[in-house]
Amino acid sequence: MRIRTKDDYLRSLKEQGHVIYYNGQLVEDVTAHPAFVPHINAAAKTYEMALAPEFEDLATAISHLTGERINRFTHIHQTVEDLIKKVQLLRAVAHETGSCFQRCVGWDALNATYMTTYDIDQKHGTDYHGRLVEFLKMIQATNKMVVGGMTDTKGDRSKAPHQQADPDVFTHVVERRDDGIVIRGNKAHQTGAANSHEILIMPTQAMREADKDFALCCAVPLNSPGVIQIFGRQTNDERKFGGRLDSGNPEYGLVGGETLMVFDDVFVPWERVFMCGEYEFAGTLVERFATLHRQNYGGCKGGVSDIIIGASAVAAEMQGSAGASHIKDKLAEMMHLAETIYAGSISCSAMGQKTASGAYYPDPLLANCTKQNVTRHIYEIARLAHDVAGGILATMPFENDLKSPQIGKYVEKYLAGVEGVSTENRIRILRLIENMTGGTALVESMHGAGSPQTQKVMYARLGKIDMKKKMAKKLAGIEEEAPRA
Amino acid sequence: MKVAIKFCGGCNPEFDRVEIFHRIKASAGDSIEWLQLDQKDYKAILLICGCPTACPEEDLQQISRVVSIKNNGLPPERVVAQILGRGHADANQD
Repeated sequence: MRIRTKDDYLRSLKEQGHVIYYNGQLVEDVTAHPAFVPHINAAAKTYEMALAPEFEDLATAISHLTGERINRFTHIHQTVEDLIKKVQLLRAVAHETGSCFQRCVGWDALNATYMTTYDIDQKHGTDYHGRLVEFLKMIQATNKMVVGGMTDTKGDRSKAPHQQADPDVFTHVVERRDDGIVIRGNKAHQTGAANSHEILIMPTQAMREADKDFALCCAVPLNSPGVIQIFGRQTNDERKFGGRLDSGNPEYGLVGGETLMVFDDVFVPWERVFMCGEYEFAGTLVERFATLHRQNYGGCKGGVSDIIIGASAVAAEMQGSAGASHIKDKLAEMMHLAETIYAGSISCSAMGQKTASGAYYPDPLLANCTKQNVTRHIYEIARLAHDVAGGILATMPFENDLKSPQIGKYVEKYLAGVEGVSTENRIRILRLIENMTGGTALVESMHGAGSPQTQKVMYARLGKIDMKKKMAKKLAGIEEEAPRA
Repeated sequence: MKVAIKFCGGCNPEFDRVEIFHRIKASAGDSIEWLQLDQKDYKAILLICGCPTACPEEDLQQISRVVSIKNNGLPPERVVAQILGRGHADANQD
């Protein structure tokens, strides 16, 4: 069945019957559980926008495999224009949801695996790429949602996977059979996993020969026996269970809806295995996924920032401070920061390159710079939003206080802003700012697609420091080599 | 007159593209029958772009007659007049 509409998507999740726990309880139907509905609504936007005339130009693409029009979230980038459209699409979807919509992770996993399986086959004569293409055709035809599984919990960071006291802290192969493999381990921080159909498992880091059982890439349906998900807590998550006003962004999620995913001896048939022991390609796959994912952040976080900026401006208008020069300056600074991260995403896309597989790949140095800026700029945008909104952001009463027959009149009276604006609407916009600028939402900008230090590591390798030194010495008139540190 | 409506992808629009389309549609009334781009049987395309970059403009200009708007400054009735004027001119040539 091809998933086209939001209803199709919800039905597919109901029917799939995957195992997921929330707060110690097995969830029977994620589509009816208030903790999951906002995230599902955000992911559903990727289906709805592909059907909307005003977004289809970005939200759909033509498959290079079949010539069919497909959801762009299942597309393999064929040109620099595709890379740019990816970023534009992410900004557009973020405008609709004001939160993570999750589907880029699997998209990036598909693209990274597409490129890397081609390279593995070239070296080893394997048929991983052909298998991946068949899997991709199925995903494009059915429009299923794929979660990209990269991050293992990793246990003792000072030890390699094979040195761990419990090797299951890294996902690995425990049995090789004629018909497939059996895997065990986990993936952490799995954005969108609670409402996806498939996981595309990738290695979490570069591997050496002793770790070849951990050099693993494969696709697993999320309703497979042995796959268990445990949903992560979020800031103010219980507000989803109450009134709409307190949640701030009642229709959509706070972040992506992340889970800890456990693989308790899960069988994977060979046709779904795309790397199994080719340890020298583990680092390549990780780097490609990371680059493709870091490319995104100026798009989606740029779009989310647009909402925060708009909300801050509305809050200022509602409390009569919009005319103050320092407010205008702060809003201008927020725009500067948002457009800077967007510019980074566009630039790494514009400088994209064709890989041997034919798929296009963003400039990795520029993509890493983009993500590094996101780890800083989003915090600063949030800080400025808090500044503009005022201390009321942290001290507003409950929605039930506003609606209380006894004390509602006091909330209404004393939290009023400018004449003509209802107190309820003022609270609504302030709650939206609170939702988008605190706690989990910020941490997601810091660590999603890799923590800041991972980008610094890439600078050391991609930053062309030898060339920079050579150029400096030439201008300074230095001819002898400096001793290497 | 049959006219296809086409929107840009809307990555960072300067105005509400759908709202302006509804205003143009209301202004046109029965004088225009709106089609999707893949329905083919149209005399012109109304292209609504959210910013001056107008991403789809170049591709569409090569395949059909396009009335392109990139801001919401033009009154809807003038957009309709442009569409109909261009359409009739083309029809006269047929």
